[in-house]
Amino acid sequence: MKEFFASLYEWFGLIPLYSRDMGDQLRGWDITCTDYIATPWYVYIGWIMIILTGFIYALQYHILDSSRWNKKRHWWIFALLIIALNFLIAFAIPFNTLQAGDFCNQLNLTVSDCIGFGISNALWSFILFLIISSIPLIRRFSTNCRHTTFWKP
Amino acid sequence: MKKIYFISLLLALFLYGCKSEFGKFNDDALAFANNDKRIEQKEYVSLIEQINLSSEKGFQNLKSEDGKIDNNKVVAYLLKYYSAKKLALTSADIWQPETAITKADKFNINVFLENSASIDGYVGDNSSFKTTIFKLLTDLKNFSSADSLNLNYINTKPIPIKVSASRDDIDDFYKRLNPSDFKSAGGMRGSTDIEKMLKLILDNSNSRNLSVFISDCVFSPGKNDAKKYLDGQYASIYNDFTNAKRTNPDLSVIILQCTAKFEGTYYDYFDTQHKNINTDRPYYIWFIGTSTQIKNLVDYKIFELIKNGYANKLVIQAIKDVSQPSYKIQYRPRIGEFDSKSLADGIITGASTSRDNQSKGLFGFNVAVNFSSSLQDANYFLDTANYELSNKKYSLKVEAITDKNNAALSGFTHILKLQTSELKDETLRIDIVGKAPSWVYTSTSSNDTRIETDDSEKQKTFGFKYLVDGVCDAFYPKSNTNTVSSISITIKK
Repeated sequence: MKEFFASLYEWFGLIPLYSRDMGDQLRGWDITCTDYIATPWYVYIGWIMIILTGFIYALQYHILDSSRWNKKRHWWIFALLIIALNFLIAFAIPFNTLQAGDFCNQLNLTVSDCIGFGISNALWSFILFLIISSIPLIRRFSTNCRHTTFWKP
Repeated sequence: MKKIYFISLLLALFLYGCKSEFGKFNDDALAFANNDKRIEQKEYVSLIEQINLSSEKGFQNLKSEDGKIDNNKVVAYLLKYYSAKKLALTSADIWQPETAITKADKFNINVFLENSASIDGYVGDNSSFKTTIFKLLTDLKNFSSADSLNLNYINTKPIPIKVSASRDDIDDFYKRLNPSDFKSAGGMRGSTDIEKMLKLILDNSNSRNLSVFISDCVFSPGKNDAKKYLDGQYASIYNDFTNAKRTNPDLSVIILQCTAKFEGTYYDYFDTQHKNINTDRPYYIWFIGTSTQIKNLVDYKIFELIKNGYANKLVIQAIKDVSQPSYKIQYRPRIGEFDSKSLADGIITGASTSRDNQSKGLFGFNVAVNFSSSLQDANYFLDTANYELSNKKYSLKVEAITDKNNAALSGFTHILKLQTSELKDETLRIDIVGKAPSWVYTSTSSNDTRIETDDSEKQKTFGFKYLVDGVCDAFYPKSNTNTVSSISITIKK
């Protein structure tokens, strides 16, 4: 699971948005620089991203399920909410670690790495929201938003 | 910026529950230590319970191969972790369960102090040699594994001075360390036959008897051809130790090179007298016994207790098993790139050479190694001549770890810096071989007739390398690889 999320966030090694050192920190490289035995943040943040995105999707489509929130622009509002929250979560956790110096002293971590990981998480949450809100099979359980996607109505 | 901190704090609190069990273990360990800068019994037991209850990978490193908790590993990890968190705790601050101490078999300690005329210069009124010997004998008397302490002079034969020496006897022995008492003790004081002395000592060394030999170790060829004499001594010493190893396969030798003020007459290799020499000169303390006896002495920290310290130490032991010291491939510094996924298993994957202009085409990495469990002197591991690499295309540099506050290096004694320009898939073996260290050769004189004028000669010992080579070759025959310790690192591109 760790490597699954790692390859997602590292964009399969094609367009890394942050350093390899940040990748190792998020895999759980421990403070004594020995092994991947610290908290595997990739897994936790990956699951948080999925759950949070799913919850906000459910909020728009199934909890609120309102005719006042079923336009394309509303889809974008919820999408931006998902992007913002997921960015903040993925930025804040390594940023806190960085500020506290709570990491292996041989890793070169910078604030731009935290921003890069935040963007990566935000992008994947957006893609996930895009996918789940595009599948008619899931949307059809909504009364007022069953036709709401990022391109319509 | 304050808003970011606030939001970050809220999120951190929100996500606190996401920490792994190992992360919670770390938090608890930190909280316990922050409390009173100590880990009490109750706190330690609570940490151990967490290790017991979890099967997370982080906890596996704190267990032995049979899955039982290894308290040494737990304490070592905690110290590393506290070091990383900038908490100055030592192992004494962490409560540890008492390990059952097996009472080692006691043995006699037989001290042989050379009383040849060449030693007279060391035993002047204000000699540091005398106080060092006095302190050493007192420490040996206090040594819990010592059954009885027997004090002897030695030249052509051992001359018993005190059998089962008491503290008063040691005091008396110390007071009698002077040329006139040496003379009255008897024996042939005019020349030094080190080989004969060593043979007598070896005959007295076994699992019940540890020998301590104190001598200046200066050969006396007299009017003989010096080269022939030294070659003969080498061959005889080699023969003596080879035979001794046959009867006592567990034989071990430690040689300490110490320095003391020498005031008096120096006899060069022609036995010509050089009067009124007043300089610091080396002398040697040999410990000859079984590896168990030597290990007990090391555990007692006898060498650290030696007054005025020692300049060099040499440990010569029979090679039974090739030891594998603990090591850790360092995340950084590195030349080129590699993946860290299997570093903890000693495997470098995805290795590639550097593309930087300064180090283009090179690949390099550092390995931290813990040689502290070895009886050998730490300086021995600094000399790259004592290493054999399976791939000669790698260059090696070795440094001692002095930064005690670096968590990444905590628990390790040396850094091996490896570098190559020909990177390939391989298992790189780093062998530490048993041989006479370089200080033996720099301490050897082949002509000591100019001792008055040549300052470097004053710090040397005539023919010393023949003596040590004779012992080393008996333990580490040149026809063998003589690997004492070995480290293997797998490198994959």
